[in-house]
Amino acid sequence: MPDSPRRNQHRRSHSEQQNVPHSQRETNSVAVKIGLIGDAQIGKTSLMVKYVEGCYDENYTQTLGANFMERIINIRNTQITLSIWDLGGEKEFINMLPLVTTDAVVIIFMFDLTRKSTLNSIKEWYRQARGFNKTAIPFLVGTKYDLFIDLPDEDQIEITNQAKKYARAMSASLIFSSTSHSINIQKLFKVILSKVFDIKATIPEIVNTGEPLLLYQSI
Amino acid sequence: MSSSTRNERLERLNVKRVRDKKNLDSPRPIKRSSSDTLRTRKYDYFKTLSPPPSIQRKTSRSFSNLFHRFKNPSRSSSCSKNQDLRLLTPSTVVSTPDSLFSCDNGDDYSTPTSPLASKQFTFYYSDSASSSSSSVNEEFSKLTLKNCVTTDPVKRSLSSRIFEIPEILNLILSCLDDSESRIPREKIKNRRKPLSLRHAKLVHGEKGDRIWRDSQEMGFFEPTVKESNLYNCLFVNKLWYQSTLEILETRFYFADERKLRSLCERPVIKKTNSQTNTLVLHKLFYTEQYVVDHLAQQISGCLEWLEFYVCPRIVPSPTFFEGNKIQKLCIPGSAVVDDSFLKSVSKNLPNLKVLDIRACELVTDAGVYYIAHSCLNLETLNVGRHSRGELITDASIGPVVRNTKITTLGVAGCNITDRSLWQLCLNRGSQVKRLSLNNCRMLTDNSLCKILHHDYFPNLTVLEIRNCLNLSNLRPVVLFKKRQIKKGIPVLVEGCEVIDHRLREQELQIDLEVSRKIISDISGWINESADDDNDFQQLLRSR
Repeated sequence: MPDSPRRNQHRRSHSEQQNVPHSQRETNSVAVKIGLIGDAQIGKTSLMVKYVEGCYDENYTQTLGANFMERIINIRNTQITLSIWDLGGEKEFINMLPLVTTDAVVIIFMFDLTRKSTLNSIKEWYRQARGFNKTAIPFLVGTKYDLFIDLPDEDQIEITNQAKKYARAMSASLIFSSTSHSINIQKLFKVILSKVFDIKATIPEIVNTGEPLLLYQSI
Repeated sequence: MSSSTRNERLERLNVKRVRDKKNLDSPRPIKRSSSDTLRTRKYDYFKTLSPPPSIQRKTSRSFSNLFHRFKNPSRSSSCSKNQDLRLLTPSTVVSTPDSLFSCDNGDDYSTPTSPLASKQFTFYYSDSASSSSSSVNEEFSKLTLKNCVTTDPVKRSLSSRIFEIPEILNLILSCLDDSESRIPREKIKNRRKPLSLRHAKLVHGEKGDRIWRDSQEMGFFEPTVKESNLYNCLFVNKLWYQSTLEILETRFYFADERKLRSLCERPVIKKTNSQTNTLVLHKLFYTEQYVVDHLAQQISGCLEWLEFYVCPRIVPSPTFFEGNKIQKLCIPGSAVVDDSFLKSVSKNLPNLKVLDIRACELVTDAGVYYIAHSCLNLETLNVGRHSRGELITDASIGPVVRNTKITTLGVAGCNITDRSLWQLCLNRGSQVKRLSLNNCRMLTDNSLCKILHHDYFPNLTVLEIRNCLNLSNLRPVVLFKKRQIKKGIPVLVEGCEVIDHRLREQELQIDLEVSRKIISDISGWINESADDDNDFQQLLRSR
């Protein structure tokens, strides 16, 4: 687990506090539900598996219905449970959308950076998801950045501009990521937590076209 | 026994029953005819005839006695009405076997209408061979009770023999017995009533308005003793009568003064071995002592549960305690129970588990002290009171918590101090489940709050601290509550307006602190520079 050194720290802090009564040593826990939606074959499930289990599988497996995974992060006396829900991109699973969006604190709208059509469908996904959940914090995430950089420059510029326009319209953070190359995966969820708890984050933004965008302060 | 002799016997019995009924009900004699037509006639006769009110005073040994002992008091008062009478006087006797089971003239009722008959029974015999159990079940499922009193030998043989075996019949009837549910008692409330509208809003939030209104409207609730579902069984035949009576006699409930008095106007039937194990008198405000003493002559020796709920003028007679079997003694609201009573009965209460002497304002430390030294199995003690709280102090509660197995302690309005609570904590700490400390104004932060802070009451589920205004630091109480809920133990803390307000304030403050801690933890983590992401520059350079 990536956070194992931190866990040790956690344990150490416990032993230091032996004299403090039982009640004050207890960990506080928070749960955050995150929904992933977007067209088929974008990499929603891959992103989730990558973040929760730290591994990436080249082969494509179609998501039937919805997937659900949990990652528990222990930080000192706080336990954060991220429950991530991922909806199959095919149209036939649209009736399971409420399952994923209801009570979600964050909805990540995902598109494939190499397929413009998936970005265009975001409009419809956003409309549908907002129908069920009007309060969730939206995120716009482009996947397959590692393939995106092989596209001709003009395509990259067009998609980037288009994505920025969408993000502005949704007032969402915009992040480009690559699951296979571990780019902006951990940062994405850190930014999500900073938005959820309204904490000022010091993670540097990435703004240049051609680089994996990480825009969350001013869209 | 050959079938003919039995038939003769049954016929005699039948005749006897008819005579009894005649005695009891009919102002003019019934012409006897052949038994086949007799039944229909009887039926018609009782249905149409309105018996005179004088029946009530007839005291024929077998039936009327029985009636007066068991019938519903409310019914007996409206006895002159034909409608009511039909339900309980011998017209039912006649119609019952007809409608319940099957009747003489060959009609087989496949769908019985009575609740008794529609009840399904399953019989399990643990020691019977398992291989034959299915066939046994099958056999039992086919059981029907044809009228046992019929004289026709062919029809008689249709009735299952099982209803003639006393032991089995007794089992069946005791399964049917619903007396547990008939105990007169106050409505059980989940929470105490709020003390004011503001209090209701504080505790229940938006629902407070409605809950306050409901609590104001809730009128005086008068419980009545429902009629047992076994009464009809008394009238089937002699065996059923005996068996049913045996079961009915184990429990006596009274919530009606008239009924109890009328019982006492009857001559005493001195029983050598009374089977009664439960006696509940509920809110008999005017009943006098002689009635209880009269009752005591018939019921004594086996009592396990003795309850005089708000019967201010009476005190249980000493004979009730003779069997030394009493486990539950509830005499709340008695104006005559005092120390000498407790002293005299305490030696007869070695098995006592529950003692409820709420609002018995004559009881002082001395009385409770005797209990503490004699009733070592005591688990629940309630000495709560609204006035004369100075009579119960640490002097008696101390010995109680040291000597007994107390788990539930009610000392509302008593003058106990921190000392008692600490003794409770040291002697019974992990066993304590419910604690009522309402109006214990001498308690300070030095007991309860410290005890809860150190988690010395790990199994406490109900804590009542209304009007304990000296408790100012309620933070441990809130933390305790949160801790128990996390452990899956539901906790109820009842406070008054002031206490609840303090609790709410502490809760908000704790929540705020927790949130701050969470935020600072997360913000530290988010802004740690290291993460597992790769540097994108590397990827760009590799292309």
